Amino acid sequence: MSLEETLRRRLARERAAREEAERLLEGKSRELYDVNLQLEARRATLEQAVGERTAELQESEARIRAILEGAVDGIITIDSGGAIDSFNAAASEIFGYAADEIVGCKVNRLMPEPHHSQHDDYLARYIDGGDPKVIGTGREVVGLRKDGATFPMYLSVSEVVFGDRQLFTGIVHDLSARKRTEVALAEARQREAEVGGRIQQSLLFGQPPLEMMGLDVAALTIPSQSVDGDFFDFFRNDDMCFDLLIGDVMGKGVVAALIGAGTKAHFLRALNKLTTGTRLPRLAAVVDSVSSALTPQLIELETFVTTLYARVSRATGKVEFVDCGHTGLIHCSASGDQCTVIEGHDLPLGIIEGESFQQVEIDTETGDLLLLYSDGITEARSPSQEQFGTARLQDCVRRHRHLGAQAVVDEIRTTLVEFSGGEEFDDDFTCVAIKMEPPAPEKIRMSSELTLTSDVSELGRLRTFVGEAVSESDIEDLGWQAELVTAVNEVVTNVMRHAYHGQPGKPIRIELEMYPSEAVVRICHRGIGLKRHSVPSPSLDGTEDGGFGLFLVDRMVDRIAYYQNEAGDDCILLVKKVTRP
Amino acid sequence: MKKVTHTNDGTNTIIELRVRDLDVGAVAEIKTELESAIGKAPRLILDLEEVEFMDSSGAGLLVWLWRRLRASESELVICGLSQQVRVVLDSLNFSRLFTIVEDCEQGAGTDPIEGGRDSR
Repeated sequence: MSLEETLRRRLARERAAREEAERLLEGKSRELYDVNLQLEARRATLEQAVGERTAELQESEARIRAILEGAVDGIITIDSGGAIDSFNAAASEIFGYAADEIVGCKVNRLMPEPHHSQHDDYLARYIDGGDPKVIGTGREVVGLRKDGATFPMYLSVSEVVFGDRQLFTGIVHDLSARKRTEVALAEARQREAEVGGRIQQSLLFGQPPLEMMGLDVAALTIPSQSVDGDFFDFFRNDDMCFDLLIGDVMGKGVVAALIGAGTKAHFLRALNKLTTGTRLPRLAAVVDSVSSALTPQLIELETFVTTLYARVSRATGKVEFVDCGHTGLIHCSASGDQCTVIEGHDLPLGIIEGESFQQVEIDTETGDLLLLYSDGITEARSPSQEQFGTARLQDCVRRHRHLGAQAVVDEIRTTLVEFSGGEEFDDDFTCVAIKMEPPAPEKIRMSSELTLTSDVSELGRLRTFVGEAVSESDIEDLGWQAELVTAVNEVVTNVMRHAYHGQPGKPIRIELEMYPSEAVVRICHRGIGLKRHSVPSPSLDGTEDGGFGLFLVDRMVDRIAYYQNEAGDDCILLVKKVTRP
Repeated sequence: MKKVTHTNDGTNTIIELRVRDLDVGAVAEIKTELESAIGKAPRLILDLEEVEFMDSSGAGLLVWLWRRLRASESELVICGLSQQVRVVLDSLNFSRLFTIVEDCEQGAGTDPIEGGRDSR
C-alpha cells in the first residue's frame, strides 16, 4: 500500500473516530440538559412548597400572636435568667407596663417583697434541679403593678424547652374583682346571719316566766352558725300557770326565722281570741285555730312547723300538751324511778288542712322535773359521728333532777359540749326545764335595797348591807348567811369586772327579799348582759388561781337566773334556801 | 401600813395578813408583799385571824401561794379562819391542798398535819 493510501485511510479513521466522539458528546450533553431540566423542575416544586410552608408558619405565628394578644389572662414568658421575653396585651393591662418597656427587664419587677428579692434564687434552684414550687401548678400570689399597688392574682407557670433555650410561661389571672365580690358576698352572708340572729334572739326566744309560785323555769338556747328555725315562748296565765310553746321550722335562714316568729304570733293571737274572761281555752282548740289559719300558708311556702304546746299548772299539778310532730317531753319523777319521754301523735302544722288535734295530759308532783327540747340536742354528734340520742338526754335529766331548772339546763349544755367536743353546733339547741316546787305561797318578811357604784371599794358596804339585812330576818343562821354574802359579793364583783369592764362609777342596784324559807337577791346593772357561760369554769386542781367565782356562787345558792327587768336592765337573780329540808 | 407581817424562826415562817377583807381590792398588794416573805423556811403558816371575809380572788391567792411553796417543797398551813373563810375554803375542797388548823398557836407545833387536816 502506498503512503498516500495509508494516510488517507488513517485520516478517514480519525475522522470517523472524531465523528463518533462528537456523536457521543452530543448525546451526553443532551442527557445533561435533560437532568438539568429535571433538577430545575424539582427545585421549583420545592420552592413552592417552602413558600407555602413559610406562609403557613407566618399565618400560624400570627394566629398564636393574636391568641396571646387577645387572651383575657396575662401571658408572660421569661428566659432561664428571669428576663422577660414576651408580655401580652392582657399582661400590660394587668400590670400597667407596655410590652416594649418591660420586655428584657427582670420579671421580679412584677412582684412585691419578699418574692422580689428571692425570685432569682427560686429560678436558680429550679434550674439546679430543685423542687418546683410553682411549675406545673397554679397558686394564688400577690402581684405588683407599675403604680406600686399590689393585687391578688392566680399564677400558673409552665416550662417550655425550645431548642437549647429554656423558657417559662406564666399565665396571670387578676383576682382583685373576684376578691371584691367574695368579700361583698361574705359580708352579705354575715349580714343575713346577723339579721337572722337578731330575729331569733328578739322574736323567737321568749323569756321564761320568773317568780311563778312553785314553778322554777329555765330555758337554754345555743344558736347554730346558720340561723335555724327553733323558737319558744311562754304565756303567763297567772302566778301558778303558764302556757309554753316550743317549735322548730323546717329549713334554715331568715325565712325559717320569720316563719317561727309568725307561728308564735298565731298562737298568741289564738290564745287571746279564745280566752273568755279568766277562762282559758283547751289547748287543742288553740292548735286547731292556729292550724286552720297557718296551714294553707305553710303549704304554699312548702314548709312545715313542728310544735309542742303545753300548759303547766302548779295549782292542779297537771301538765297538758299537744305534740305536733315535735320531740315530746321528758318527765322525771322526784324519786328518779320514772323518767320517760311522753309524746303526742299529731302531725306537724302545715301538712294537712282541717286536721283536728289531740291533747295529752300527765300528772306531776312536787320535785318532778319536765324537759322540753329540740331535736338539735338529740341529734348532736360526737367527733366519731355518734348521735347524742334521747337515752343520754334522759339519763342526764335523771341524774340532775334534784337541781333547780337553771342548773339542769346548764348541766345539759355542759354534757353536750363534752359529748360533741366543741361549742359550735350544726343545729340550734333549745331546751326548757320546768321544776315543780312546793306550791305554797310565802309571805314576804322584809325587803331592802341598795344602790352602789362599780368601785371595788364599795364591796365592803355591799357585804355590810347583805349581812345586816339577813341577820334582821330572825331566821337561825346555819351557815347560810355567810354563803349568801359570799355569793352576792362574787356576782357584784363579776358585774364590776365583766359587765362594766372595770369602769368605775357605774350603777349597780341590789334588792334583797326575805321569805320564811328563802332569801331572794336581785342584782341589776346597765353594763353588758352577763350570761352564765361568759366566764370560764375553774379548774380546781391547783393549776389555776382564778375563775373560782362562779363556781363559788353555784355552791353557795340554790338558784341563779339571768333576766332583763322591765326597765331593760340586766339582772341576776339569786335564791338561797334558808331552812334545811 | 403593811398588810403583811412576817417572822421567821428557821423552821416556820409565820405570816399574818393584816386585812379585814381579803377581796379583789386587796389581793394584788398582798401578793406583792408576800413575794418577799416566802421560801425562807420549810413551813409557812398563814395567819388569817384578822381576815373576816374572803372572796374568790382571795381563794385564788391561796392557790398561788400553795403552788409557789410546792415548787420549793415547803409546806403551807393556814390558821385562824373566820366562819365565812371556812365556808369558802370548804366549798372549794381546799383542805386537800393545804393544812388547815383552827388555832394559830397549834400551827407551829411538831405535827400539824395529822391534827389539822380538815379539822371540821
